[in-house]
Amino acid sequence: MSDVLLTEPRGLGELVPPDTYQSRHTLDAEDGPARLLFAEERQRSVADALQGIIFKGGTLSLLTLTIYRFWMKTDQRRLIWRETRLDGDGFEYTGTPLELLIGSMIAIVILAVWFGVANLGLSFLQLAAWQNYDLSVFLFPIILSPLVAFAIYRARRYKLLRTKWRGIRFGMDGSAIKYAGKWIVWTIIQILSLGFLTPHKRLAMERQMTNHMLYGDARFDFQPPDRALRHLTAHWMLPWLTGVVLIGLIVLGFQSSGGFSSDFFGSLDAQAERAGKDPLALKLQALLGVAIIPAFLVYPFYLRYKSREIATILSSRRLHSAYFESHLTWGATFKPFAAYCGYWLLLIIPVMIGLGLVVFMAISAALMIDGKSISQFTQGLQAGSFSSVGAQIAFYAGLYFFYGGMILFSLWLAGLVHFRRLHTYICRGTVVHNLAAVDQVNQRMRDDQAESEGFADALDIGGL
Amino acid sequence: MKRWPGTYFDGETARSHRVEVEIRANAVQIYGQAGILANWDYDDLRRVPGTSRESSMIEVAPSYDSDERLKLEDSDAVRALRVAHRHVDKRPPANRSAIVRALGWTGAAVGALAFIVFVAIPALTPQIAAMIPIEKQVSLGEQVEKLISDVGLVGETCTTPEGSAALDKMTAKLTDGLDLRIPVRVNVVNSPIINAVALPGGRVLIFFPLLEQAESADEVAGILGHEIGHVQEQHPLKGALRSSASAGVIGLFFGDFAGAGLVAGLGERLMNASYTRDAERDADQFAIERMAAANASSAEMAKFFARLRTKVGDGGVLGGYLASHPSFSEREAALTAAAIKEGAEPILAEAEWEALRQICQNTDESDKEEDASNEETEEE
Repeated sequence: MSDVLLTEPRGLGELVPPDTYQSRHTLDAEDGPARLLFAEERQRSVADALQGIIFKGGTLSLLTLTIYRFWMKTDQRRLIWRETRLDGDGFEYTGTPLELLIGSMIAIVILAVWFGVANLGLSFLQLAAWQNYDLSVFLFPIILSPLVAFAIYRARRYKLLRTKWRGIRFGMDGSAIKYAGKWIVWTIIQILSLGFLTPHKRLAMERQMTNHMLYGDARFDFQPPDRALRHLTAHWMLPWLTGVVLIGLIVLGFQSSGGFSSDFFGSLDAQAERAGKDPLALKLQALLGVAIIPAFLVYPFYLRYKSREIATILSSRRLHSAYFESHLTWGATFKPFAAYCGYWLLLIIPVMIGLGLVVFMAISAALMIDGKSISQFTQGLQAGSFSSVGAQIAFYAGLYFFYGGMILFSLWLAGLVHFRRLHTYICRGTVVHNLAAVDQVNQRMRDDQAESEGFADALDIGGL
Repeated sequence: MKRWPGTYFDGETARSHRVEVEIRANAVQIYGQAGILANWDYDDLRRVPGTSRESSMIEVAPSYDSDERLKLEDSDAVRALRVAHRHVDKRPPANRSAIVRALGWTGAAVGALAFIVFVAIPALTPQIAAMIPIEKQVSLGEQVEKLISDVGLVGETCTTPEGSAALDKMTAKLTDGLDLRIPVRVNVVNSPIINAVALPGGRVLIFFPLLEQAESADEVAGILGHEIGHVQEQHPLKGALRSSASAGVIGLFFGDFAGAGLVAGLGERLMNASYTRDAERDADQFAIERMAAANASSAEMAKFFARLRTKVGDGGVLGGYLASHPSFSEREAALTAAAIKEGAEPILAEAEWEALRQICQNTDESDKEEDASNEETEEE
C-alpha cells in the first residue's frame, strides 16, 4: 500500500526546521506521537495469511488465464491495509475484485488499438531498420512511459478512494494527464542533468500527487522539511557519482581501447556477420551488457538513497497540523533486498530440481504415450516432437507446471520476502504528530464512481 | 446488562469515541458520555468486509454501505456478539450490476483484442511487408536459418553438380512464367527431421530426410511448390510481423500478473494457429496451380502426406485447433481433387530424380542412417 499514504519512501533526519519543530510537537498526546505499525505483534500469523493468499491466488490465477489475479490482489490489499494501523486503528480497503477487473478491461479496450499500432510500427522498424529484436524491447517501454505515469496517478487515486481510516474515506482529485505532462517535462530535465536532478524530480512529482490527496474533506499538503532537497541530493551523490564514474571509466576504457574497432568490439563484426545481424546493434548490446556491472555495484547505494527518499516524502505530508515524521535507515530498503537475494540463492536450486523432476516425468509420460525412446526426443526439444495429442498435452502440462511453479516462487519472493519486510520497516520508522488535529476532519460527500486502476494493471505496474 | 468497552467512529468525523456497548438479543446499543450514541439492529449489522475475522477483535457497521464503525477488542465481547448475532459474517449480496458490467467489458476487451489481432494486424501486415526491402528480408531469413541450425535442425547444405542441376530444373519448371516478388533460392540441407521450410527473403530449405521419404520427384515438386507459394505470398515475413505485433497486444489481457508473458505466448500461438492454417491452405493451392502449370499431377504430393499420416497420425479434433497446419487428410483430399487428370508428366526424368536423391552423397553419411529412426515430422 506504499502509495496510499503510508509508505512510499522519503528522508527527513534532523532537518525539521526549528520553529515548526516546537509547534509540531506541542499537540502530541502525552504518550508521544501516534505510531504507524504493520502487524507488529502478530508477524507470524500475518505472514502465514499473506503466504496463503499468494499461493492460493497465484495457483488460481494460473488456472484461470490470470483472471483470478484481481481477487488475489484484493485479498492481499485487505490484509495489508487492515494490518497497517495508525494509532491502533487499522486501515480499511473497500475496493472489490470486480472493480479491478472492469477497470482493466476498459483499459484494454482503450489501449488495444494503441498497442496494435505501436507494436506493428516497432516490428516494422525492427525488421526494416535494425534487424535487432532487442532494440525494440528497449524502445517500447520508452514509448510507453508517459502512459505509465498516467496510470500511476490513476492507480493511486483508485487506491485512495477505496481506503478508509476511522470510517472516513481518503480520496484524490486533479488530473492524471497533467501529471503525465509534468512527468515528461521532468524526465527531460532529469536526462539533461545526466540524472543529477533525480531527487528534484521525485519531490516535484510527489508534490503534485500529495497536493491532490484528500482525507475526508481535508486536503493533504506537501511541505518538505527545510533543506530536504539538499539532504536528499547529498544522499543521491553517492550512487549518482559512483554510477557516473563507473560509466565514465567504461567509456574511457572503451575509447582508449579503440572504441567499436577495438579487439573485443571488432570481434563482434565477425559474430554479427555469422548471425546475420547488424554489427552496430550487436555492439550497442554488448556495451549495454557491460553497463550492467556498474548498475549492480551501485544498487545498494541507490537503496540507501531510496530509504531517505521514502522518509522525506512521507515526512512532507501534512493534514491540517498533523504531519508524518519518518526516519528510515539504509536497512529499511537494503534488508528486504538482501532477504530477496538470499532466499533466491537458497531456494532456486531446490525449486528448479523439484520442478525439473515434474517436467522430466511429463516428458517421460509423453514419450510413453507416443511409444518413443528418450534418444528420439532429444533430437529436438519441442512440442512437434510428439505426434499424438495425448503426448502433446502431457508435454505442455509439464512445461506449464514448471513455469507456474517458477511464477509462484517469484510471487512469494516479491510479496512475502520483499514487500512484507519493506512495509514493516517503513511503518516502524514513521510516526504521525498532532494526530488529534485530524479529529476535525469531516466525511467528504460521495465521490463519483472511480474508474479503477485498470491502466496500471494492463501496463504491468499495478503492485500493491 | 453488561457493558463492553469499544471504539466508535461516527462516519462523519475522524474523531474516535471511547464507548460502552451493550450486546442485546437483537441489537447493540452504543453509549457515549452523553448517553446513547447509536442502536444497531442485527438485521443489517455486519462485520465490515475485509476486516479481521479473529476471535480477539471485530469491526462492525450498522449496514454494508454505512461509514459508521464499531470496534470491539475484547474477546469476550466478540464471543458475546457472535453468540447473539450468528450472521454477523454474512457477506454482502453479489452486486448484479457490477457482474453485468464486468462481463460486458470483458467481452468488449476480448472483442477489441480479437479485432486487433485477427482483423487490423492481418490487414496491415501485407502493406508493411511490402515496405521492407528485400535485402532486409534476406538478412532476416539468415537469422532464422542461423537459429534453426543452432538447435541442430539444419546441417550442411548438400550439393552435387547433377543433383543441384535437377533441383534447379525442378524450381525453374515450377516458377516458369511466374512473376516472382523475390528470387527463390532452394537448397537441400542435412537434418534429422523430415521437413521443408520457406524462410523470409526467398530461401527454401528442403531437409534431406524428406527426399529419402519421397517416392517420386513429383512428390518433392509438390512440396517445393508449396514452399514457393509461401515465398510468393511472403508468409514467413508476414508471420514474423504478425506474431511480434500481436504478442504485445495479447499481453495486455494478462496484465501485471507475474509470468503473464508465458501465458500470452501460448495465447499468441493458439491465435496464430488459425492464421497459419489458412496460409498453409493457400500454399497448397499455389502448389496445385504450379504443378498444373508444369503439367504435373499434384496427386503425388497427396501420396506423400498419406504415408506421413499413417506414420504420425492425423492430430484428432483437439490437435486440429492447436496445429499450425491443416490435417493431412484434409490436404490430401484437396490435392487429389484438384490434380490434373490427364497428360500429366513426371517433373524430372528418372536419372535426374536419382541424382537429386544422391545430393547429400558427398556429405556426412551418418546423417542418413540416423534419419531412418527419426521420423519426426512437422510438414511445412
